[in-house]
Amino acid sequence: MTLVLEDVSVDLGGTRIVDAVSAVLPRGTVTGIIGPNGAGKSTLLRALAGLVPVSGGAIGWEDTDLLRLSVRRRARLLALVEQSAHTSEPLTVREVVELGRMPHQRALRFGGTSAEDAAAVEDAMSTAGCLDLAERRFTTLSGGQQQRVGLARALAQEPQLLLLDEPTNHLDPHAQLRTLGLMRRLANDGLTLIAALHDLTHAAAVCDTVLVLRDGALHAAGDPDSVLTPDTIREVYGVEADVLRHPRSLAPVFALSLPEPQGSRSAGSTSSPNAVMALRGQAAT
Amino acid sequence: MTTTGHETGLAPPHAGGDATAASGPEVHGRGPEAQAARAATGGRGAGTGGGLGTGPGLGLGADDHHQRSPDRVRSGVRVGRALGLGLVLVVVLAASVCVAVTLGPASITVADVLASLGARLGASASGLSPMEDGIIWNLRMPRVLTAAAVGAGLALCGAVMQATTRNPLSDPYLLGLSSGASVGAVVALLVGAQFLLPAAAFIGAMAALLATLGLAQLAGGLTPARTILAGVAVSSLAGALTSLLIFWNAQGDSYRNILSWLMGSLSGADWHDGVLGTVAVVVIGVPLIASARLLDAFAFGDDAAVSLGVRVERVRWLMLAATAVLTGILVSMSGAIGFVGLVVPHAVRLIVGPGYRAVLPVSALGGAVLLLWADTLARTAFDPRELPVGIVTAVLGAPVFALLLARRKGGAA
Repeated sequence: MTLVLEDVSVDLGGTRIVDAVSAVLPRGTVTGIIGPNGAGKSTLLRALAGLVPVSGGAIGWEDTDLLRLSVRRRARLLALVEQSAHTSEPLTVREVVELGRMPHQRALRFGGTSAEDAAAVEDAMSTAGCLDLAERRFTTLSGGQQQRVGLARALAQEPQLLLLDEPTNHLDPHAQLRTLGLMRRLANDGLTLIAALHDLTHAAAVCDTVLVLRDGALHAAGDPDSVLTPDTIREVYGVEADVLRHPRSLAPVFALSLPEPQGSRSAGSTSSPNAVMALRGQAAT
Repeated sequence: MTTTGHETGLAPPHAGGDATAASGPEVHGRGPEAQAARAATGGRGAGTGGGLGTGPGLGLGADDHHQRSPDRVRSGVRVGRALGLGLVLVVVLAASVCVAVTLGPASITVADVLASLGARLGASASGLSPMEDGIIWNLRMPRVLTAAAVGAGLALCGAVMQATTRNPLSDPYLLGLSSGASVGAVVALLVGAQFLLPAAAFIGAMAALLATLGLAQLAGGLTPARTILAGVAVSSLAGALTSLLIFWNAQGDSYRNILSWLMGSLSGADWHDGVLGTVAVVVIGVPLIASARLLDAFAFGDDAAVSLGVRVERVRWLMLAATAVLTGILVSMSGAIGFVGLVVPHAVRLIVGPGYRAVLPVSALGGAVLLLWADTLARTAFDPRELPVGIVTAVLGAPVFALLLARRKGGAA
């Protein structure tokens, strides 16, 4: 089972946001979409989720043409976790997660939640780690907690594909690592994940495949070790990268610095590994 | 668990009210308000002491066939509260219809009402004089039923509007319906064609609806903001047109007639209105209630609703069209009665929570009871003069709403 993207393009308001992206994403893998702001990461995810129209190309899952699925069928197949969710309704966490069951429920009906739905909701909350929040008001939760609830709602859809838009954004380090760990676990359980990511270290830690977008087009693709090289990072982000190794896991860790300005007066600071550190040093003196 | 819920606090007064039929209008008249107040204060509160709150708590003690986590029980509170309140309101509504019919210049008892009803349903002869029977059956009953139907419909439409536009200030008249209806009604009154008033008002409402939706669609689609703004534009224009018509033409009696219609009045309600209103509320209201779950999906915005498999544009079109047609029918028979559609859904939400599966049916029942009593007050308080019922709904509704709002602030903070 694979998700196949073939020359997927998205035009919004006459501008090409995503430009002929092709990729093959096998089941049970985590694919990271990286690239600078405005590269088209979120738009590509939203196109997969059916929130913006695809103007060219094809998206297939198995024998299913994703672009021809009804909104409802698509919602059973894939779920999207957006960066942040806002509501003014005083919904409890359980009620929010129950929304995830909607694609599986009849549109016109009376009565409450079925036992099957309740079980799926319970499962989703327990997997996402928000069971203890079940009766809290969603609006009173912290950003990290809301993110877990959003994940639980997506899992309650029982999707085969899970799309995450910058899932570690706005989270503290503990919550970030927790989310990454959960993503890995879900993939090992057979879910296919696609996540827009900003943090290269996170991408290297969790992804099987990395798609690098630049100006809407695919700039590089492959496993993190071969794609996330100093050259690619310089070309795409315009920053210098030193690839270190985590002392215990040996996963790559990226130390980034702005390129030295040409003709800079601080010619003596070439040995500085980190421009930010250097800036702070100057400010202190 | 739900039965304990409403038995503990709320059922007994009604059982009494129904059985002791002859105990006098005052006692009954106060019943529903006391009920509503009790329902409002008993449920939420500190969470432990209220009448409805104790039901699920007892359930936990008695229920040992499955180990239940505490959170599940608390989830049950909302369901129990909604079911309990719904059942209470059904009883209150039925009792209110019987009691409200007894109120008025001619003295009639609940027993008379039941006897008259029984005779219609084919039981033994009522033993009432034709005059009494006529007052019950031809004057008061249709008016009471119309009030209940209009109240139910307005509250239901208000709740749906608030959900589809994600705007707490939305009411059934949002799409310019009441302003459009006013233009039609005023034209009918000014040309002296009173019998054409409902038709003219309905046509005016539908014209305003089409103008609003068309304008929103022209502006790029039926998003909440565009819909609301288009409604504002159409409302203002229609309002100006109404004012112009009145300013130019109206005098004396027609002026008073127009004013009374503009403020909302059920004074002309007959069986035709009662049946049409009830049928409209059932035919349009039941599918709306059945699709309440779709409204929940709007809580996180249109994109979230799409990713939950909801065809947002289509659902919004259908919902707006259904509520607009229902509102148009109701406005054509009652004028623009304010406040019911705005306030009842909010009050209900404060008690049963934000889930529309509970909010819609409970709002409909609450709106029916509220407007029924507001209209009874409107026609009896200053007898023989009648107040426009819109004034009464505001005077009754605003303090109750303020109270609920204040309690919620204290509880949720």
